[in-house]
Amino acid sequence: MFRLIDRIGDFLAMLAAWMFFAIGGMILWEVFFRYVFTSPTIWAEELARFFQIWALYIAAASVLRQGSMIRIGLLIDRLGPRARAAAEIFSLAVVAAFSAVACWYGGWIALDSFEAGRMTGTMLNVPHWMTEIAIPLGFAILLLQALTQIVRAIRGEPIPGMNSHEPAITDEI
Amino acid sequence: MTVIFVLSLLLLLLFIGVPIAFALGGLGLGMLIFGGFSPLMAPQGLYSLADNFVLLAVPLFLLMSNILLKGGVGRDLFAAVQSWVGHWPGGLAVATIFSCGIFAAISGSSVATAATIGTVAIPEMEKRGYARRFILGLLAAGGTLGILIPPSIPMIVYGVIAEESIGALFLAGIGPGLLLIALFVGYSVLYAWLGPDYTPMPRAGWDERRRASIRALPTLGLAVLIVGGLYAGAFTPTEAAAVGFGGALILTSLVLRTMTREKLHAAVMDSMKTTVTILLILAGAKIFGKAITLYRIPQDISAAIVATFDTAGLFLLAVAAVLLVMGLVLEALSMLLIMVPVLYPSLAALGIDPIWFGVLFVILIECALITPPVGLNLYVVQAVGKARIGEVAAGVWPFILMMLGTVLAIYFLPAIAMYIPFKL
Repeated sequence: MFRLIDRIGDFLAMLAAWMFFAIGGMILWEVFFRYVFTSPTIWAEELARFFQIWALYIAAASVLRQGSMIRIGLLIDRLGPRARAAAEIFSLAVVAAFSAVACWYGGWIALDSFEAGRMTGTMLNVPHWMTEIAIPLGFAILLLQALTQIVRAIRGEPIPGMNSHEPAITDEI
Repeated sequence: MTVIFVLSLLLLLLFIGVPIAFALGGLGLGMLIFGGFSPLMAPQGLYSLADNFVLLAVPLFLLMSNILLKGGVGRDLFAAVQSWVGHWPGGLAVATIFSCGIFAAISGSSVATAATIGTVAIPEMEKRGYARRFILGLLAAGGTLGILIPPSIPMIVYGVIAEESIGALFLAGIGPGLLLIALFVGYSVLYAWLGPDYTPMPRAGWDERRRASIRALPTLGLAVLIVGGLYAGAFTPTEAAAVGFGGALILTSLVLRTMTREKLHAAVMDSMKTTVTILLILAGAKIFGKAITLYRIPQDISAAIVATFDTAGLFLLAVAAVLLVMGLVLEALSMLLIMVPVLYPSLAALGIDPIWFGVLFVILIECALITPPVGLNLYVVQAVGKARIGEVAAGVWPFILMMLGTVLAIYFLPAIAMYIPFKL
């Protein structure tokens, strides 16, 4: 069961990675058409934003599990193993609680748009729920992943990436 | 009172090790619920943050620099620059600074710049007998150029929060970036002349220069295209990033032929991971920002600031002091996201130009991150150079003084930053 959640998360993260890649292609296409044929596309900008919404939130679970989220390790690195585990579980509980609320209310928003048949009213004019649903979905997986990690931490299993604040974590900023 | 309470809670969450994105987002959500506001604002904030064309520049610039990195461009650049200036006094140090400066034009981060150039430059300089503390300080400072010379992730973030033109911010970073390059190069030459002995490099032959330059030229061309396109107004920052991304792909796979399927996959995955961590923090900060605005915290702080400081200079001095303290524990993005929404309302009241302030703010953040005894960028350089933190700290002082000098220079002569975007 836990493995399954891990694997779904990793698959979604890989999907997200190539979605960001595809965004690059779309914008490039747009720039190309605007300069070469002086006829901008109507879909590139909007689709790129839709991809960003989806990619960002479906990748969160895997990024959490791999311990890549930026956090401050100054204090917890100096704690003993028991206190450390407690801090870890508390942190994951905050993530889980936030995800639960975001998932619940995000779900309401998407459901409401679906029932009202609300459209984006933009160039593409797609149903609004098609992008809004990314938030409840993404945070549902993140919630599951956070709960999984909490159980692992209670059992005393090592959680990847949660052991110190390595400089690599602040990568690219 | 509320301010102190909220700030202590935030610090508590951060110190317990809650990921920064969720410390900000969770506290913001808690404040919304506690204050009787609709929790629907949280998913709405998450949605609108990601539904942002300008922010697409973040994943695309990251893709560009990661693809170039995996294609081994850092080594080529350093080799080319070194073949031209390596025989100068302190030549390797000068080459390091110039390489950082050029790499800065294809990377938006100080850490990536220091790490990329560092892995090539540190062993070379050690071989030639440069003092370790000098090498480490040089890199910690050289990395700073990464976020001053466009593109720059912190400036994109600043532009998004403050709703200022990112293009103008990018261009305003060029002048100060060039000034810092000049200062660092001047210092390196002086250091080599007066300082301890090192083995100078032999002058490279024309043949070697030609060969090294031809390999580095396409990368330089890409950097020029991006900065030039932004300057000429041909691209928006997002489009410039997409052009850079396309250029990086063509360069590494067709021109240099260093790209493989595995490397590309690794570059794409690395970019995704960094993008997601950055954008999640922005999403958390968006909810936090919403909540503190509903509690009228920025307005109160702004009123207090205007009542306390009657000149822009004193205000900036206070900001610098606060940043220096925050730099002990926080990284660049968190400092930006916590400070800018709170300070921004005061700028207009004090008559401070937000673009000018953005440039000063970014330099001050970098200063804070390399100021001993604790600063997160010190750790990065320490890890790249496999050194003790004390060594880095000892070497970094002259550079911090030069950076603070630059801040003062920009304060008294705003044209250093503002000439390129607005006068030229």
